[in-house]
Amino acid sequence: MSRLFGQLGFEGFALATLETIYLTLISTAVAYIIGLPLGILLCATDKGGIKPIPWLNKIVGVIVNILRSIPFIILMVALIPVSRAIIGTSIGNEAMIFMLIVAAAPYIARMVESSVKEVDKGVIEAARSMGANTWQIIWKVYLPEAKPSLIVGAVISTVTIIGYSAMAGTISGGGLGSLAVTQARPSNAQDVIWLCVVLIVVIVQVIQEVGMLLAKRLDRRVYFGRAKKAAGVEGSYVEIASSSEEESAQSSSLSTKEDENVAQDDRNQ
Amino acid sequence: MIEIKNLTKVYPSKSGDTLALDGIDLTIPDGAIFGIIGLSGAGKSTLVRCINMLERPTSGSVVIDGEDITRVKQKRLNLLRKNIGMIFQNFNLLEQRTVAQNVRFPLDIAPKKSKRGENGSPVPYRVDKAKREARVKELLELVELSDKANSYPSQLSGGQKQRVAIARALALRPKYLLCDEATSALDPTTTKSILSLLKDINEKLGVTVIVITHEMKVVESICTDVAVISNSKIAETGKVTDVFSTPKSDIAKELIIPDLIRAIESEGGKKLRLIFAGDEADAPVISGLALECGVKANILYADTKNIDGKSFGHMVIAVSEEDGQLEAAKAYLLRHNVRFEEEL
Repeated sequence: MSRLFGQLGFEGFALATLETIYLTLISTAVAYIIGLPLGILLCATDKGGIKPIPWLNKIVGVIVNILRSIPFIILMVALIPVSRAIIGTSIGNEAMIFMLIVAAAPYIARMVESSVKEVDKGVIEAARSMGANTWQIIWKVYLPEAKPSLIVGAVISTVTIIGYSAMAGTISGGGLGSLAVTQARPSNAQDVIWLCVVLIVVIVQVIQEVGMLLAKRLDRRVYFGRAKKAAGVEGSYVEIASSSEEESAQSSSLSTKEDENVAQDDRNQ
Repeated sequence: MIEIKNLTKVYPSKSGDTLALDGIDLTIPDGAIFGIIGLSGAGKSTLVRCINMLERPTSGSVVIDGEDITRVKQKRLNLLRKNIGMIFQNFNLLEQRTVAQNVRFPLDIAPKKSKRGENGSPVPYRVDKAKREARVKELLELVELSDKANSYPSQLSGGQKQRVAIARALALRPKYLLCDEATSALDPTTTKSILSLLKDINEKLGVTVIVITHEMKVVESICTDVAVISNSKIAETGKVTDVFSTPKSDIAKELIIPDLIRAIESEGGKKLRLIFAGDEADAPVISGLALECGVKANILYADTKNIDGKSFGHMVIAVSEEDGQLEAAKAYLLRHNVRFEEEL
């Protein structure tokens, strides 16, 4: 065991872990405050969107693409003077959060855009036919209908930001990345480096699993041919698309016999 | 009343413009079940989408109750759209909302009564949550889905989904209901029940229903009026009983009586097309021809349809021109007030 490992002890690693989680969550949250509206804007103002504004779409699209195409490690270095000008410092957690936000917001914007674009065009057309205005479509159709996909996107974004935060640790701020690169590497404390790796893997796994579970639980769609219960609905059942009205009238009795119903499904397909 | 005047829709593209609608003139009277029938690609879907401006027409006007909706501002259009319910082939329900929440959607987005009072809404203003829930309950009873209120769309069959869509479209008590191929994704039994529901809605609630379809059966079973659309133009329009008994345009004949056309085009003898409209359909015409005039008539085609409780039908007979048989037959038919046309 290296001397550094001993010096850090449980508290040292716990602190670095908590710092990584804290930095990631704060940056993700703020990046979403910027990225979510941008993503919706990119989708809504696109040609064929609910409010086509080509010039605005183009401008935002180009800015997002430029920021997305710069590798984070270079963007970080380039942002040092910007950070100094805006928040007064280029080191420490504040500077790191700033850089993470700049890097993550455009990424999140694209994630949100692709989630919202998945919403069925027909459903949006139905909302328009009901006289829903642009805001109502955004709040009551785009966001709720894209919810499962948005959660999956948030999980992927958070994991990416954990990676960025470890990189950002090399020049400023704290967390497991900083611990591994600025403290453990110079003293060649391999055990510290590897424990940092393990801890990051654990954080990523937990976020991934919890997020995916949440996305699945909140999705109200049930797919045909799979005996999956919709979350929160007791005695739900899968019904074949072509079943006639008579069959469906007996649904209350069928719902208690889910297995039989699924078996019938298979026969019909 | 909906008056469509000289409506044209052009889809521009690099490989040349596509003319989807070409000078459509159509009047849809209040209280009608108006069928718009045509083959796929004829422009009927574009036409119905122009009625609530989901598609912007290139030129022409759509006047609904005296107001040209092609010229109104977006805000006013959103308000007017609430008076025109619409249902779709693919149902288009919100997948993440329950049945009850889907039906409540139009109520949730209904116009708020402005502080200055009246803001010219053609539909009820937004009411408090309890009243909205009560309205949802009422609508689910109407479409016989009260027991599915808390189910999600993916748990329903196609027919049930369309019922939810109908309940949703009627939430704000609209004057008009547009149905875009509403039964095309459904099996025959379910189609029947959806059509009878639409007829009920028309009769009991006085909603003017506009039905877009490519299926003759749909028009036949519920419509009062029909417009036949072909190659982006209206080929023929009128009361269903008239258009069905005496279709004038080729496309209407092709859609309504395809087998008859084939019968007429077949070889052998002079052909007479007898038209039954109303009670004459019960008269024993063919036996009369044979017994009274000695005419040997060969039946090539016969079909009667029940429209609005009356029998309508066509019969194609081939009659020999020898021995004045044709003349005798014509004279007999004239005597008995049977409408007929000579087909070449």
